[in-house]
Amino acid sequence: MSFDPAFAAEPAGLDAQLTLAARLIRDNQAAKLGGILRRQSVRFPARFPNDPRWRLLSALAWYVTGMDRAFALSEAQAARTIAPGFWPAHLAEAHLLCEIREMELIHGDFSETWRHGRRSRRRPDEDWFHEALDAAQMALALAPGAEVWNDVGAVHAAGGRFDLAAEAFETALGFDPGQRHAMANYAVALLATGQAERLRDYLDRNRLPVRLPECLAEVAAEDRVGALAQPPEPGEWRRTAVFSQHWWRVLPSMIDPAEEVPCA
Amino acid sequence: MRLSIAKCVWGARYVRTMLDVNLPSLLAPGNVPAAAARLPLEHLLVTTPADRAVIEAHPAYQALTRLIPCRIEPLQEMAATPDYMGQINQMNLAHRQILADCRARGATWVFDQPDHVWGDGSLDHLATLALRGARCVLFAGIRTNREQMVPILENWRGDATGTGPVMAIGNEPLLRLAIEHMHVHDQIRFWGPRFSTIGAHNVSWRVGSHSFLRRVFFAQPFLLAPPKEAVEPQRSVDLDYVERAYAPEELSTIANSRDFLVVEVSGRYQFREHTPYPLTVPYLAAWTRRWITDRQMDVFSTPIRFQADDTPEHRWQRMERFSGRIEAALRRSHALYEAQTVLAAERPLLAALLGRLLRDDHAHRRLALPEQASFFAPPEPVLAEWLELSGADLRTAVAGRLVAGRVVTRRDWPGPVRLPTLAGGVLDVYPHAGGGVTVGGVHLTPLDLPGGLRLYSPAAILADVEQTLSGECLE
Repeated sequence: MSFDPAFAAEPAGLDAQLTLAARLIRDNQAAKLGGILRRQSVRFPARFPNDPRWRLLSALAWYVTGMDRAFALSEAQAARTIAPGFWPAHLAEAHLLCEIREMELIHGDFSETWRHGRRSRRRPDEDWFHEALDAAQMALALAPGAEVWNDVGAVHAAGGRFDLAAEAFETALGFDPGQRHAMANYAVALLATGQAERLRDYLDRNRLPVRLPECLAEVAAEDRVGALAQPPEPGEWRRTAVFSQHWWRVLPSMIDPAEEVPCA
Repeated sequence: MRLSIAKCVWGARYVRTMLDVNLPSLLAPGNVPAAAARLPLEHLLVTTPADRAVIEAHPAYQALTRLIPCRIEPLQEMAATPDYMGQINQMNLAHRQILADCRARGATWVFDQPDHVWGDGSLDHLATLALRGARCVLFAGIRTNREQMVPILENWRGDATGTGPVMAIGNEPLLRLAIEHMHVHDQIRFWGPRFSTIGAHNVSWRVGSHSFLRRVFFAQPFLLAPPKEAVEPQRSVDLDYVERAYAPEELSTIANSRDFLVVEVSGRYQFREHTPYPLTVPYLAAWTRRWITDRQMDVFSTPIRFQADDTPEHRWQRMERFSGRIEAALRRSHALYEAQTVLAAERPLLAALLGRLLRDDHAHRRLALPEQASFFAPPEPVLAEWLELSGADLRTAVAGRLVAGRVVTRRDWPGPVRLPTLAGGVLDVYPHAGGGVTVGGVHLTPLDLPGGLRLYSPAAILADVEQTLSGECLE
């Protein structure tokens, strides 16, 4: 396959590879890391096996191409094993574990529904996402901040604990009132917990950085949480919390601290 | 007539999948050997030079070359981004290459992908349809987990002596495996489970332990005769090409997996597009209204049976009726969306009422609207009060003024006509000679809205709506 000419000449050393990857992330072209991966095939993770940054870039490459979350997870876990204090690796592990466990949850729910011929009544227990939560809390212990608190909240939300998620998002906003993911996620968590008054008040005081589902705006105007239990518009599907992607967006500053981290 | 089994492939992972399962399944007795005995058949592969060397050295490909003519054409490479969308764009370009090749040779394209597994006998069934004059044959493959499927399929490898690259698995065992190892991508397109998808390209309903019914908006074409006019796909072969290249009467859908079955194998953790809400009529109505054409809605009306057990016929029919009612509800909802637009300018309260009902899944399930219905709207102050009600109370209030059919005629004058409502009560209606009615002392005038709904509403304001309707809707 042919790719961007910038990648035609493959940098040989670790530093050069890291600099190239940092540039791609800064330019919001992280998806191109997948191209490097595919060109170098299995040599990519094995190339610099003892460098946690490289292993995390490998995780990112597998993740952004959407091809294999399981391999991305194993790369993130390799990175945090090599360097237990490397907090982005813990955060990546939390994010990837959470997504994989969500997919397993869907699979389990489907299998049960199929077996019984009707919708499953079983809800995921709180432990379903505990590994992801452990990883997120490890990152939090190492580097407390708005983005990491947001991701802790996102794991809680995935497990259906929107009350705990709301607390985590609120804490994130305490660190940084402008953290864009936490701002939107907090509104989603308030909606999910039926706190219409607080949501209305929150939306009155804050201009959110992303377009939220119409139902949120309606809730802000009228108390109709019950009537809005189903998504009526195709764009309203995004009524769940999202991760900050901080684990990979922070990598350029760790590779080349002189540069600023790009906005999420 | 000649058939060309054609596909594109590049990259170690997809080449491996093709060599491990796709080509071996094509070699099954009921596929290439059977079809080649009935009509000219060839195999076309579009790939890169590096992948070509690997493919040509593989026993499965060599076995295929001994059965039918096989060609490998170089892939026209593009400067694509290497993410998933980049791959899709590259694939679409390769499909244009294949379409041009088929057009030049007058061949009918048997659409294939490197991650397809063909049930034994499926290709022969396609050949049969081609010989009967089929122009474009549609089906919907099942996506499965590669990590589970590929090792299990090894149990079906080998010819009569238990050796060789052939993989002969019948449609029923293949379907059983596909149900057991179905990918989340397909699981979230079932009616019932708590999770569903953002984009319901198809919808399925469980029928038995190893059977389900599927209706499809975006059907996959598996047989494409050269179209009467040269047409290029703008987005992809299955998204827009079929609609642009073939007239409705040229399409046929394979309706039973016992005749034909192809499954795809994909990474277990690929394709994450779920939403934590089940499929509902309001969601599907909103989504289809935005993304689905009338032609695709028509394709949805043909149910496909995926059948690998002895589920009795009456259960299939029951599910066909049930899913058919959902299709009817979607069409009705589309019309009611139009009605809501018409009402929005002059009757915002009625429009808001309709809007709330359209987003209420319970309303769709419990207010089973007949094909023709009449609604006797209350005065505006009452309507305003209704809008403050909870969902359940609102449904009850509406049902108390909703009547099946177009029930009042001038011959009923002077009344009263006692009409049974959908809430189980009775409504006393006094017809007028001019077509209007009086209900509860309020004079109402009828207006036919899209969706088979006759609205009786206070006369003065309705005149404005009528004007809007004649100006915008009937043009």
